[in-house]
Amino acid sequence: MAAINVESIKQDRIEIRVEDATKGAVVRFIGDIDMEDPSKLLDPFLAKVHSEAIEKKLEVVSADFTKLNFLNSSGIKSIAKWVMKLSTAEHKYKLRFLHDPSISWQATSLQTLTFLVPGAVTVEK
Amino acid sequence: MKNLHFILYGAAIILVAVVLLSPLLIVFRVVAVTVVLCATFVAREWLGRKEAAVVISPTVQSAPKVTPPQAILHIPIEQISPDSPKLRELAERVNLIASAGLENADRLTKVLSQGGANTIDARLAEFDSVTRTISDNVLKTFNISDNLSSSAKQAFELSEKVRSGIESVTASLTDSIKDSQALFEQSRMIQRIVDLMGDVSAKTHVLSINASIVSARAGLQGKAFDVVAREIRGLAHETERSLGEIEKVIRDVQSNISSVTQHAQAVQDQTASERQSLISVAGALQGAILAVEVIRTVANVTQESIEAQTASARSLKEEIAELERRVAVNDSVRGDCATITDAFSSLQKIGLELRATSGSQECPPSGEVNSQGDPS
Repeated sequence: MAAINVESIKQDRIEIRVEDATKGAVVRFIGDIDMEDPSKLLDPFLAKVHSEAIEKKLEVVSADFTKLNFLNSSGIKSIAKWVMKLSTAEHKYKLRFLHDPSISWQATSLQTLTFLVPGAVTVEK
Repeated sequence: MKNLHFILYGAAIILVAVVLLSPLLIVFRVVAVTVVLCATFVAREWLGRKEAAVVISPTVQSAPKVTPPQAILHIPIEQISPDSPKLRELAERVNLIASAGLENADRLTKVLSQGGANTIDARLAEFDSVTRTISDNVLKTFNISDNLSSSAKQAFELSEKVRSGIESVTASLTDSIKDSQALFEQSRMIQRIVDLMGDVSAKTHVLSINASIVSARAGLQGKAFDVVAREIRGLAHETERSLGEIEKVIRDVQSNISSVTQHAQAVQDQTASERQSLISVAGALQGAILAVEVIRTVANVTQESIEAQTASARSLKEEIAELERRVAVNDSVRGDCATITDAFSSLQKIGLELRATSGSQECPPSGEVNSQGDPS
């Protein structure tokens, strides 16, 4: 049985896959998120990931951005909203953001997300 | 007041007794009865007004809050004649309603006095002020983040423009290097031609020497041929000298081409490095834009929370105002009840007095009223 029962997405230049991992699940972002309003795609998807993680009482959910070349400002808003949901969640899982240090925007922006819910989010290589 | 009342009634009774005991004085009896009736009427009217004044004035002047509620609102049913069941029932109902209303009013008054409506208002005003400050700060955060985001976007666009320029320069340099390499190749081809011409010249020189030897062997007949051979040797010599100069120039050109190519290559390497740096700068700026967007998202959520809190405070304020209105209404009802109770007591008192006064005149049982509502 899969850790999270969420359908993967493949649209335009982005593919988001959900895979099982030790003590939780990994959400892999591959490609570019540069569409005009990515919230239509990301918000329901990430809300589903969040609710499934709570329901299944997962310990860790990783978001792998190492293959995400570009993320626009509307896209990060959806990710920030996902992080902020953790502050009021009845079950608090750990959120790990995996990034590629050679992709400058990831190094600059992902760290900001750790301040939203202190202790709940980590940024790793 | 009661003493005066008894004096008046006493005087009237004495007069009646005197008149009845004096059968001879008919006229005097008529006058005396008239005086007694007038005195009775005046006493009743005067007493009634005084009683009403005594009852009503404290109710109007005193605040309902300071009077013990039970004392004001309780109608003494035991004092109502058992012959007036409707009146008793009405009084009981009034007592019930009044006590329920009083209870509510007291509870509200207690709540408001304990919490203090003014204190709650003050706290709400303080809350309003704090939320306004937070809201202002959120607005400032929005404006600052807008400004930052705009600056970062401009810088990002600028870095993209510079990156595009550097890419164009790199492309031109690549073309130049290719052209230089082609030029170098061409110069080497020229070098090969010059070398070939040098060989031809050398061979011509050898041939001219051989021709001179052959012409010397021929003697006088070969003299003219020797002149030609010498001229050819001179030409070969000139050619060799010119070819040597050309070779030197070609070597210089080749050296210059190599130098230009090396420089162009160095510039190309440098621009490639700068291009990579610019990509990093653009990425960092994009990251800054995203970070600002995160701040804006947080500010947006804060703004929404403030709006919800403000709406809740507004609703609380309205509820308190409604409570105050209800307390005012209850106070008014309590005042009215007190007035009714007092008036009822006065009426009861007057009724008892009247009954006592007119008992000797064989009045119908108390509690019965005529069509005008007055006691018979």
